[in-house]
Amino acid sequence: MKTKRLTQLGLLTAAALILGYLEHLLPLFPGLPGVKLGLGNIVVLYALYRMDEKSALLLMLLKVVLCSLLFANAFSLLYALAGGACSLLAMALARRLPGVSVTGVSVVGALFHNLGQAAVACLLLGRAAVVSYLPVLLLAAIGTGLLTGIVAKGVLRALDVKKKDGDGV
Amino acid sequence: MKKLLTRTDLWILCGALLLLALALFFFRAPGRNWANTVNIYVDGALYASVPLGEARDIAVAHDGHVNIVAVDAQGVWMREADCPNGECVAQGKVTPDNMRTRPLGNRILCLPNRVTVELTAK
Repeated sequence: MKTKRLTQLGLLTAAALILGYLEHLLPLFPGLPGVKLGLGNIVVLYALYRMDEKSALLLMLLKVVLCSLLFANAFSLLYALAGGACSLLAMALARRLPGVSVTGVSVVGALFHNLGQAAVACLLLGRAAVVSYLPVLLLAAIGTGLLTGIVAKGVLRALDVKKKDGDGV
Repeated sequence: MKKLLTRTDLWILCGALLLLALALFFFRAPGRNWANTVNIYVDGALYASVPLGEARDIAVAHDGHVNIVAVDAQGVWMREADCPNGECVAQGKVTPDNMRTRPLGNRILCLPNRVTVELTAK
């Protein structure tokens, strides 16, 4: 791996971990499992837009594994992996939609993250437990997706790195 | 910043809200599938759990009091209780169809005897 990419990924992973720690310290809604701010996704979006998809994938994996091990438990790792994988796949595809910007991609990512987690919950807990919670998850995803997307847009614009393929942010 | 949401973004948002609306419609108003078990709690602790189906009566006896919970294929109700007001019997039958619109929802409460009957999904 090129040194530049290695160091970039290292820095981004560190940033994602700190954001994960922050989220862990300040839980948004105590009564609602699976509802998170998803600040770490800002970093993933950065990697997706300013690096390449493989790096973004690596970053997502690192973020998910490390955050779960550090701040949560094994079960949470399972959920997070499913969510993260679905989310990244959806985001990579969403990026190709004509006219989309970071905000839209972020909403898609948040949605699929929660859907992925809900799918795992379905398998483990049965449909009934998950199904009535789905509207809450979707609403949270829309809200946090918008929020993190707008922040990511600001970050990308502020950092103003030479764009890889000239796509507007 | 120039543009927070592009047109495509708004379409995505619309799609997401549509998904939310669908989820609310289909999943917050449970069909028969989602309620198939009767849980009986005494003093907050689970006393018994039986599926809807075969008609039967469950006698909940504790502290010298008796509540008779009746279950059949359609739902659950309090057949008899030795509490002073008998409100639990008057609360009627809980079925998957009415559990969303009853005042107490999917529950029958016998407050004096501290018995709770709940129709839920396993």
